[in-house]
Amino acid sequence: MRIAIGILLATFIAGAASGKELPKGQFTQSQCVECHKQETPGLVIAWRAGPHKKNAGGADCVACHGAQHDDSMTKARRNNACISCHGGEKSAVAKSYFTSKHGVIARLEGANWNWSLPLADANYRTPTCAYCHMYEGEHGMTDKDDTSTSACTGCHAPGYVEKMLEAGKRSLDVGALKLREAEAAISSLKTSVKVSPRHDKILTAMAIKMRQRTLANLRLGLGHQSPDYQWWYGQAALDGDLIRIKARITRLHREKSSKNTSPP
Amino acid sequence: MKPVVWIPVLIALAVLLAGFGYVGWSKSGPGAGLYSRLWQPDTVFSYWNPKPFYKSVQTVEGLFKGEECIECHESLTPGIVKDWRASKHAKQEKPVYCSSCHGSDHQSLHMPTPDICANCHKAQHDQFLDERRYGFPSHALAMERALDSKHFADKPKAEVASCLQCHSVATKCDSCHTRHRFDAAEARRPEACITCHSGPPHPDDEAYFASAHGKKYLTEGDKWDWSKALVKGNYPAPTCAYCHMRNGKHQVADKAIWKFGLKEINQHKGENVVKRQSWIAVCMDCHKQTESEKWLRNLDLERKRAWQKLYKAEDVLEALRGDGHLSPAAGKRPHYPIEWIDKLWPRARIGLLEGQASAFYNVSKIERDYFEMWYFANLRAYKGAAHGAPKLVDEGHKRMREALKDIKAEAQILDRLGKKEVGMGKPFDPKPLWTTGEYTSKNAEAN
Repeated sequence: MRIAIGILLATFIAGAASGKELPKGQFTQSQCVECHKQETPGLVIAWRAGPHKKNAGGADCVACHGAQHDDSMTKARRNNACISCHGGEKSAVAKSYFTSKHGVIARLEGANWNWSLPLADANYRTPTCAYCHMYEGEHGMTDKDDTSTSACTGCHAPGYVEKMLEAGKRSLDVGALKLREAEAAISSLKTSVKVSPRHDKILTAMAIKMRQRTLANLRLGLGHQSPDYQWWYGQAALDGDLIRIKARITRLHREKSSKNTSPP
Repeated sequence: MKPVVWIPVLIALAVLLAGFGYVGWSKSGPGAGLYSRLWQPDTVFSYWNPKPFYKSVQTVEGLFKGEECIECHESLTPGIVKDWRASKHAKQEKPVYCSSCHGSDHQSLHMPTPDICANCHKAQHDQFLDERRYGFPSHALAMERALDSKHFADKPKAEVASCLQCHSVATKCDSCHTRHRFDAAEARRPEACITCHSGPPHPDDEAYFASAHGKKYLTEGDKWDWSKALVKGNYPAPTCAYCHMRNGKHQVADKAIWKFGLKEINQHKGENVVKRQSWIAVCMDCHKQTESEKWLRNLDLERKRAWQKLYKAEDVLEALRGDGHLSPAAGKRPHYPIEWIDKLWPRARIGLLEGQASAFYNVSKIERDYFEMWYFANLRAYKGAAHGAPKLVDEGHKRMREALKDIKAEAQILDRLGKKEVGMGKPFDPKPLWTTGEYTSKNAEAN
């Protein structure tokens, strides 16, 4: 067996180095890493340092590229390769992208695109998950919030990209103000009134939802350019969360001051 | 003529002129629209509404011919050049170059607005403008609709920049004909509409894709010839554009008999009878007249059921307002800066005619609950009924029933607490909880 693998790896390395055909057959994750440590060490290092390896051990070579070389690149570049783990079609991540103009066009035209082209130089009419998040084949999945804009400038003017990113940050800052206002209202309640563990738990859960779901929706909407996630699932939903937290606080105050013992 | 007659005429004329003068003055501020004097635009508005806000900041000097633009941008922004090369613009005998739409002077380039597209596409542009006469809802009026709304004038401009992404359908053509291919075939696909027509208040995407029409499209649409015009016989099932832009007409909302589902409409009014006939004519491309009429009647019945529920909720809210038991009441929470009259006479806004469309923040919980019932649950049911998706009708009505139940229960509590506090002479003061905070204070100060 070992000999067989050895021969296989040898052909793989030799093939890749001489620009010949990639080795055929099925490979396991450890075989991929074994060979690619030599062939494409940068990719392996970046992947190991990135969240796919660190936070989600299963997101390895085989998970995205499949077990064989034939269609390994075209397979991993497609949106499906990402969506299947990132919550599926109905997740906020997917919907915020697929309702954006980028996502709509990728869905309509993707079947006719040449997916063997590298993720760079505006090789795709609109960006896909991998085009932005793994621009130029970058395997570290670094956060694209305020780093490189080169994935955008293949199509958009640098000034436009800069203004859009800055506007996104300003909108996210506004959203964060709403969250902080809610959190401050909750802590101010706790300093003035004794809150029962049950109500404490409810209020805490409301604040967590506001941060982890609604504010995250806004961020997705801004990043993926989805109007709905920016507004109705984002800013306007944060307004609703804030109102509901304040209303619960108001109820607790009123029940207490009118000495009503029935639970609100 | 006697002076007695002249005096009132002159006064009326003076008032009229003063009115025009006031509106003109209020539109001449740094922002845009009716409340333009109350706000400054965010920098990003320049892309969504270029006419008032876009100023070229290019440093490259010189006048360029179309070929020269392409030569440079081929390496600078290859994506848009590839897109343009694949467009009809590039394939004309005399190509429509970058400079044809953006200008040739690199230091004063402009963002193409619909009137620039109209230099060649006059018929479509005329139709697009003509849509204005049908009133709301309308693509052509969408930008005014956003700019002239109270919450747009009030809220931080970085926040409401989100609104313009869709409302810019009035100020540029690439919302549907994406740049730089501007392909009619792409704009005909249902997905071209869903970037804006999705989400809680207008789940047109969910409704259409759940309908028999949409399911057929999802199964076989990729194989249809989308270069064909939107006329009878060209498509096996209707799409958004097939019905709403029949024969390619750009008056998209010319048949809106239920006005987006936001208010109850008298279907017997002359203009609605005419619009209904136009709808029936669309359905009759494939269906019998009697069938087509029946579906519209079913829609009317659904709307009647919806409005029965909504009016019940409005009654509950109005009773609370009457008794002074909204918590916090109007006057105990921030008001819109444009409504100076609210300072003198605070009044909670209940129902569309009182400004319901802005009642999703700076209001009490029960008002927000009603806002969501009216704007989310009601419109889900409406979109379902209009597009042939019974699942959404059921979901919408279920949510409305639940919302009404919650609103009634909440009202009882507010009533009980309010009465008790009045009895004890200890009314609860919602300040500073409802009037201050990092967001609320910042917003109030900015105004």
